[in-house]
Amino acid sequence: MLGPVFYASVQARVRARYSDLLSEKRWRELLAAETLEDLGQILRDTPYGQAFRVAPVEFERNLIAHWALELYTLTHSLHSGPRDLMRWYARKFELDNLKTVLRTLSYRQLPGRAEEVLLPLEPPTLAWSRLLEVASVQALIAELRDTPYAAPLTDALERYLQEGSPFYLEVSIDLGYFQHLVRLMNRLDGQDRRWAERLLGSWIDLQNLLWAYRYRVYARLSPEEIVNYTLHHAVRIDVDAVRRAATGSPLWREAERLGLELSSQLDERKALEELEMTGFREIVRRAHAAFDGLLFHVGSVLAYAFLLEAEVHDLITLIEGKRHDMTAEKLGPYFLGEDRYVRA
Amino acid sequence: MFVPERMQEVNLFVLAEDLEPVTEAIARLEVFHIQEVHPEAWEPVGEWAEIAGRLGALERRLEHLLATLDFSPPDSPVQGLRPRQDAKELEADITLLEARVTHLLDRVQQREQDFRRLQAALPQVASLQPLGVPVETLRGLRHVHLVTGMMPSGNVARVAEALFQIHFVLIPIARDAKRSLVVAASSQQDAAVMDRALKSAFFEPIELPLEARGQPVDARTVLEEHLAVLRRDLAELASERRQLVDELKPELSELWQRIRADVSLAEAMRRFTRHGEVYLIAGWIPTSQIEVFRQVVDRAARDRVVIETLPPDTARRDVPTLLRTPRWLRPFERLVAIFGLPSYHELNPTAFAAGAFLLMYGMMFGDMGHGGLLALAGLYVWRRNRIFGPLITAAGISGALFGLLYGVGFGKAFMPPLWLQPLHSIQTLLVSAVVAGVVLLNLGFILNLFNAGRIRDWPRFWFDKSGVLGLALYWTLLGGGVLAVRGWLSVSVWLTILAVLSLLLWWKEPLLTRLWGGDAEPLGEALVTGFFELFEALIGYASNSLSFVRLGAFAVAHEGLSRVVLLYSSGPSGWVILVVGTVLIVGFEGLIVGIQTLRLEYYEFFGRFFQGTGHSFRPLSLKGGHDESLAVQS
Repeated sequence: MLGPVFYASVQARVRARYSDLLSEKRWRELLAAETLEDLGQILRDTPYGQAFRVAPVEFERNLIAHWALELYTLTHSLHSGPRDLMRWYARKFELDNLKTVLRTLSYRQLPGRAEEVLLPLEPPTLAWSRLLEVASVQALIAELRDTPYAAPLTDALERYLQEGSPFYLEVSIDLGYFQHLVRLMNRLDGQDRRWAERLLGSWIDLQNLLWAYRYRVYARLSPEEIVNYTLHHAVRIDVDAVRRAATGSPLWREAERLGLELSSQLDERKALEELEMTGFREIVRRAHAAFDGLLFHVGSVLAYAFLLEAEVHDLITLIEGKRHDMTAEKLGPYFLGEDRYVRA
Repeated sequence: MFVPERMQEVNLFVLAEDLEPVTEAIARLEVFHIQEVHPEAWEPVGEWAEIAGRLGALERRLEHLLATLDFSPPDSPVQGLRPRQDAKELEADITLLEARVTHLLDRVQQREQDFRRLQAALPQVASLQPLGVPVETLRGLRHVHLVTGMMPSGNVARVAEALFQIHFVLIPIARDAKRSLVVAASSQQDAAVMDRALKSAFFEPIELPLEARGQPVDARTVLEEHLAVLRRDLAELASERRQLVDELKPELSELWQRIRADVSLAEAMRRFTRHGEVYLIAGWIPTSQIEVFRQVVDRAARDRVVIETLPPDTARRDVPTLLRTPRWLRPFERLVAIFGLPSYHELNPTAFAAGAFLLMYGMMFGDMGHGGLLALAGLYVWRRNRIFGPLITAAGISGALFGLLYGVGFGKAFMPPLWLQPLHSIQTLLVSAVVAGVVLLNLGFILNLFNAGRIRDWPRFWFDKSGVLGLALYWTLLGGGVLAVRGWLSVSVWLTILAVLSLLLWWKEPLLTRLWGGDAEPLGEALVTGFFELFEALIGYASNSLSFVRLGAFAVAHEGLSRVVLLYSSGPSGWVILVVGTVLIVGFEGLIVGIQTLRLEYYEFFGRFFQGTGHSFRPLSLKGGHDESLAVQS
């Protein structure tokens, strides 16, 4: 009932930003651009302008940082519950940086090399350069002691020390992140809860299902390990679904629970790739649909976040495609934005 | 005190062989702020970047060693620095020290590990007591696979869900928020499945220690005896560590000071540029230090140096700021710093900020009793915090002095007011508050003219909304308005002057372009922007002045609130209300008044003249990086 009060400002800002998403005409120009420089030139007077005022090698990293900052900025206008959720969600790329640091430490790589791939996330919540310079994972955990990452890393430390692989640390921080995300989502009520489940919940379900199948197909983990390394209480993909996935249920059948149709003829690896794209495209479709109605709920920010992420993803795909001289037709299947993959 | 210390830009051209001694001499002097410049044909110094990296790594290793030994070396001077050579030679010294410390640490860690292992086994052995079976029997179970260990508490339920394909028993014996002690059992046939599942839930098994033998009761006693021995060993190792620290102190201190200084020098040299065998050291130095600097550099370079000094021109925006604020004004300088550091060409507003702060705070919080209490609280805080303590004390004294003018103490009229009593003269007080605001705003206008004149920014001086035109418009609005209302000025004349001045402000951009040149905005765009600027300026003049009405409003509210507390404290348990009410007024209202004062200061007053875009003067020193302590000096 109080939605219009809480969301008056944020929905206006979200709608303004929604109109700033790249138009079809702009996408046509981008697809037709011959070089990376041309592409950067086209985007220079868009909201992505700042991300392209650097060397082309940094375009992708800057785009992701743009997403994180955009989302964080929007959270200023939210009230406590949704704000906590969105701020936590906005930190999802921080996990990528943390994994880079963990791999650098585990494989004893030079910090300088890692700095080249770290995402320049704003506002900076962690001092990445300092983290790269610590002597060991234990020292890293000590540096992170006041952050939400310390506990999951400590949990997995012994296993990491035994096996020497950062995989366990990465699984642990992923799980920690998503469990907290689900907790924050479950604290919402009413319209906020419904929209969070519809958009963010679908994404969490998708991740959970992808994990379960990837662990089975690529890592060949045992069913017990798969259950331990996934979420037990997402939205529709619960522990029973994970168990089924872990014990051989075909992917297309479990995907149906998310309302996704996959061909039963695909082999599992191909089906996994298909699930990832189809799943996110479905979320993008729902996000677009959200803008047809009133936006006095957290779905406004979430919908914009997913649309922006899809656009950022597609721009990165395009940039990488240009780098490897791929034609728009070849890139088509890798785009998330519906109009783009159909058109290309 | 009112303007930042005058600076000179200095360029030193030094021969490669003199680079290290000259940089060291400059660092010891602690008056030189390095500026990175990259003139054409001059190359960056890659070699020193590499040396700085190597020294930085050594510094971190030594830092880790010092932290391990829990030893903080005292500051002491270090002589004969040679960063290039040290980068190669000090590694061996550090490795040797690490070896000595590591040997001791390994022993400590081993004992601590044993201690933790046995201590964790104690409750496990105790939990076996009801079985009445010797511990060694449990170790050799033939049909049941039994493990005990610790795991994250959140994973206990998860692992139970994961073990959906086998029969098992999982008993948490003890738990805290983070970790749980768990006993798990399955058939030997399913042991591999259970172990793998437990492992993936980050379960850390605790082996029943070999030291534990016999019935659980006896095994427990044996473990406790072992723990006592380990405790003694650890105490001895701690004393050994203290001895080691005493023994290594001189060496560690010397090494630490040397590396820290070497890193500073290498980091500084990394920022210079070179052209063949000549290095360029560029930076800023206070004009008062230039002669000493020249002598020191000449001596270090044996007169083989070219020193070029240039006064900064007013267009330079990168000149560092070194303030010379008197010690007694320093706390107020922090208030200014929250808004921003004055740029080199700006006035240091600290003295004005202090005066305005005390005036406004006292006016809003005028009460002899409450002001006195706040001053006492400030004196108490002073010992712990040298910034907030003096600020709170000064605010309290100002409140007490205004209390004297109001004749009020703890909300009660103790004496005839020297000026007025807020609740009895509300209108006079509110008008006085606005008058005080007008005075402050005009001071802001004047300071802006001073700042603009200082850098010869004539467009800002004449045409800014806080410049001469702005001042004229403000007084036409305010003074002319009063005169017109009183009938001393014809309304049509007043409106004509107002219209002319408004028109000038509206057409400011095209006029500025015509008078002083520069890039011309399209006329339409300039006029639209100008119109909104004019609108904002007019609204701003009125709202900024009226904003000061809160000075009077808070004074009235303060006295009213204090009276309410006094009224309700006349009952039998009135002293409780009196104490709680007074604490609330002094603490809570004192804080609110502080926030309001800062708001008026930053927004209404500073907004007129102060940009605060300066960056602080950070002289090169040997104390690790750049010393910020000189950014502000008395």
